[in-house]
Amino acid sequence: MSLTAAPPPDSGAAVAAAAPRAGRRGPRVRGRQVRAVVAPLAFFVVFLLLWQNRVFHDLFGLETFAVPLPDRILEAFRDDGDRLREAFGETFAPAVIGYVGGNLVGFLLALGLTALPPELGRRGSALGAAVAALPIMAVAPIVALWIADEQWFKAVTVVIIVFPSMLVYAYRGMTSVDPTALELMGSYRASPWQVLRVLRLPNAVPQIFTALKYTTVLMLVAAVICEILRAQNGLGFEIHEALVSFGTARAWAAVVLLALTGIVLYVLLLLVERFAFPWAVRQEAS
Amino acid sequence: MVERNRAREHAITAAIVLGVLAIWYAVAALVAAGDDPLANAKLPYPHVIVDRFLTDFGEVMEAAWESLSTALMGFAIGTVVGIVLSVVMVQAAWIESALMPYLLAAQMIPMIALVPISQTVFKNDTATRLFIAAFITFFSVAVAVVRGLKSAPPPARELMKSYNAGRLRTLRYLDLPAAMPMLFSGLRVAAPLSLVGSVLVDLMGGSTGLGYLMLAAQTFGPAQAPLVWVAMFVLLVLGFLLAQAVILAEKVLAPWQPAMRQGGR
Repeated sequence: MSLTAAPPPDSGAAVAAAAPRAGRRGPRVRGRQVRAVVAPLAFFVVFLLLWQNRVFHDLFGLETFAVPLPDRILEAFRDDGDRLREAFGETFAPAVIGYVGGNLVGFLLALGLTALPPELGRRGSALGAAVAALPIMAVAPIVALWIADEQWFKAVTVVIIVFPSMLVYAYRGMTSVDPTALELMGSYRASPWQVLRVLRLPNAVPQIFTALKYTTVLMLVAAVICEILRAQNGLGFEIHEALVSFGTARAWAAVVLLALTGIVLYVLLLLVERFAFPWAVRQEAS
Repeated sequence: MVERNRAREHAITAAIVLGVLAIWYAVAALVAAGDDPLANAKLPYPHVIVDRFLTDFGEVMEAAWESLSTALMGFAIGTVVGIVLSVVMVQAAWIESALMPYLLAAQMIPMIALVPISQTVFKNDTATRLFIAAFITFFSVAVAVVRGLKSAPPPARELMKSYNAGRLRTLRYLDLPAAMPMLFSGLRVAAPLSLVGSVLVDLMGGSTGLGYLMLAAQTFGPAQAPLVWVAMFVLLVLGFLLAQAVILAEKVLAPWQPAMRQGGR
């Protein structure tokens, strides 16, 4: 099928692989561990210092009102903290509603497709992949025509953006089971429900988490685009509004907040996967 | 047998397309039957959209080209910079461990939020479009290529060593070819995003491009609404073509790879 969904950044596996292995710790492993912590930190500090001391500004001829210095961005966090917190809530609540709803819809659709004969199911999944290829840019204005309420407009857009990824991945996970295992279940006269519970769902866990991790970025992107396009609240609007009123530092603070949200959500999901389904993580890595 | 199977596949696909069209017409008729003044904006009949596309063909194509060409240029710049940086990164472990966490983190960040900010920095629509498209592409490509450059099997590496091949030769004959499949999977992720970034710039105060066309159509009231749908479909087709172009490029540049991947799946 040509319309396959874009493969998600499966950086989770890489993070897991790069994480130091407990147990055998030779001096070389320890050296690598130290490097894995020290090198990024050193880079971060040097980068911030160069930025703070206007090296980049002099180098590229930037103005401080266009690219504020780091201490100004921190100040914006302090001065406009309440405002940013409020905007964050306005973005985050509908995004999460859309995220949960979209993943649920996607998963249920995948379940339905799995119950269908594979020929139809495959096509349904391909249709899902086609929907996943819809640019957010194209979806949001149409949703805006239908839904007047700002928060629901964001939530519904997020649902439309999120659900096809979950559909495609969950379907792939539930159908890519070992045929011999299916035959074995058949020989035991297992009911479809039992096959689902014992075989298909566990098999789909890594794929489901891939989709869950991938869609966190999508939900933030979709919500922010909605706000930039039309809404009058939230972080996306805040960025826009701050830039218009020459509060660049506030706009950068809002971007930093969004970035941190994305990273925290991702790491959270990674941890949930590791602790709740350690076997799935191992399966994914191998 | 094969002939018949293929005919059947085509028939089923055609049936699905017809089904979707039929449902569309039915729902559009329902919407039109209600007394909503925005009916033809909410869901116009498909033929209205096609008609609109044909009348404004020149304008739409010009806007599409504006969006696509800058997205493509940014895409190309981002790819080159990404490949160069990842080659540098794998040369020394400390560079890699210093930069890799940030490249990974960048994939969890809604980069699109940078569009308004980079607009105030560049003060130029084309430069902003180029920057955003290149920036988004760069991260996907760099992460993928670093992983790909390290994916060559150890025995192959030992063989290169036993031939006394230097770094450059190992890179040229072993690591770069080995990184091809990862490069292309990175490109497939980046391609639609670079287009979205480019169009977002139009939507945020640009005065050309598909996004501007959509925005202008919306402000001119419901009579212009089909144009929003036209722009949406053009965007959809462009995204699809871009993805296909990446797949085609992979087939031309790394003909040994797609077949291998399919076999491996």
